[in-house]
Amino acid sequence: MELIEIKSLKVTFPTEAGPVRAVDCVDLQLGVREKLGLIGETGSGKSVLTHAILRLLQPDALCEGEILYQGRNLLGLAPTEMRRLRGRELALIPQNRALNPLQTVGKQLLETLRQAGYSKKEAAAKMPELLRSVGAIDPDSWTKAYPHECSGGMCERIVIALSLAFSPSLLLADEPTKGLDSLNRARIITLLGAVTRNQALLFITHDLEAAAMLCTRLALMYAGELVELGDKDTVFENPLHPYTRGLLFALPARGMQPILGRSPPLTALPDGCRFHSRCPGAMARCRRQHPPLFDTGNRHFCRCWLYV
Amino acid sequence: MVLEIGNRYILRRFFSGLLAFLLSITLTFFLLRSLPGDYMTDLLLEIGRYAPPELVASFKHEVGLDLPLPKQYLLYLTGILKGNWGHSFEYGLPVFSLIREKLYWTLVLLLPSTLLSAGLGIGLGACSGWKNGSKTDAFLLHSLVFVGAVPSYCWGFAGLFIFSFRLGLLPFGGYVSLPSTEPAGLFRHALLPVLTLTLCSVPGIYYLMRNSMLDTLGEDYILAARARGFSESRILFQHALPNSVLPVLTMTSLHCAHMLAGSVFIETVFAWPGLGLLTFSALEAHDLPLLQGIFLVDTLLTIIANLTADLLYPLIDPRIRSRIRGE
Ligand code: SF4
Repeated sequence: MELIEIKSLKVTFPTEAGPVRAVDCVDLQLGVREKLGLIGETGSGKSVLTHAILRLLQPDALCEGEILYQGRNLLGLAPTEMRRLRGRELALIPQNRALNPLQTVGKQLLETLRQAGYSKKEAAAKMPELLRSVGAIDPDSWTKAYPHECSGGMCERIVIALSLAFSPSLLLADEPTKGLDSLNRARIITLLGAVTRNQALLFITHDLEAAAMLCTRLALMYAGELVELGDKDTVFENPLHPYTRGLLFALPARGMQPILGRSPPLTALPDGCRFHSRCPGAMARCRRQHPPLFDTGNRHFCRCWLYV
Repeated sequence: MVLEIGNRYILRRFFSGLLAFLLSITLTFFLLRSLPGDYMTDLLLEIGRYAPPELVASFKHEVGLDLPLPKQYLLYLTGILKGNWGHSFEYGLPVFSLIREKLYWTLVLLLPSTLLSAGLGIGLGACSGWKNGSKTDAFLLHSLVFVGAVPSYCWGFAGLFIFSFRLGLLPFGGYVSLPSTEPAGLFRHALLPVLTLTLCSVPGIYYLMRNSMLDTLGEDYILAARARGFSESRILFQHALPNSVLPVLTMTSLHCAHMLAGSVFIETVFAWPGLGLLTFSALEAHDLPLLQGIFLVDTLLTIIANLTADLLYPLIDPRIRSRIRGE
């Protein structure tokens, strides 16, 4: 059975300019211990999707569809039931610096371990072990530090440790490498790979290379929709969607040619394919008709009229 | 811990306070001397007479107002240092002891209303920000906009009208005639002025607290705390509240100093025998030494309020502790 199954999820926010759909009809499955990379630029809906799974969106956001976690629809759970799942089963690794600036790292770890059900004594004993598991050599000096005294990489490790205080079955990592230099980026990715050996991981990023290092499957989002989904190797060797190809060509190893133009604002989505204004191969049909997600075989899906 | 890190910090704050103090008393000294009119002329005008120039001149000579300005200024400064703040023209008493007595009564109003307004402003603001968008939030916001839009003395008059005139529950001010420390009477007299002063400063603190709470709730660590399944009350009291109260601290201390000036109106409305009423009559009478003394005390209190906030910050915020250590 799949661990999590998202079925035609739509997320709509009310705004002054009318409702805006940030996530549009996304279908996605994630197996036990599977690592899925969710790739997209800012505003593509990848963060909204993550927060929708945790039900942490602003209260006036409207979620339609189903998010089945072990067969239970998260969207139908009472707030208290949902709160019990957060942390324990579904953990978020937020972007770095997500630490309370007024409390020491130790205090925040202790609070989280207590939340995970450890007694005071057990929590104090478990803390150094937990910090070592994310790469601390001298855990005591870490626990005494305040967040502003920690480097970006260190903060990210602490945030990861906080999510591991429980033993969640799914980790949602929301751009954990944002703002880090390349060395720290590589270290955090290696660490994430190591600590999630027994867990499923949804890795949200705009960084294709990072996702490739960590994940077995990739999902690409554009303007709120899934545009390509497939095994990592298949996607890398045989990218189907022009957007995916564009992203691959933009990588330093493959020529560093950026995709021209910018993604359309969610308030003014074009008719037809949402990528058509930037697509080098756009056809007349692309401007008129919105393409569905085509199954091209080999567990590879693509939303593009080229694959009818 | 603070002592160990902060000696230089405290010293520096102290010196900048001193500098501000000197600057401010210099300014008031020269500004007061550029006011049109003088004590003697005004005094005689009140009884319908023009002051003969010889009389004005001899009065000026007597109190030293005929000396060249720099010399007067020097005398004034040395006087302050020696603890001699001069004598009031109007009352003939030493300025220092006059102010000390009136300041006591002003503080009787100011301290409770500062505490009340800080508590109410922070509490209501936090509640409003935390429940942003709810009916409670809208209700609080609208009510406090209204409260803030009405001038302080209007609230004073409204209070007097309702509670003293219509309901007859509280006295019509007039405490000025019988200052005593008998608690029940003091409470009945002080209630309305304290509430009025509080009403005037709650909105400012409320807005700031509400905004600060909204900012804090948008922080990643609040989202992260929610994602860890913490209860809402834990998130509010452990994470959101301490962080959002920080920027309000400075404002509250400044507010406290600001209220000192605002109490002129309130004390006049309620005939309260405090510094505000004294200021009013000193201004009317052109009582220069007394005015100088009052402004000096105002300045001093403002600086003390600021200094307190500056010294409290490093106790609460570890980031400021680090910055001080790095200085
Ligand atoms: S549907 Fe047309 S415009 Fe859209 S990506 Fe495919 S070819 Fe390009």
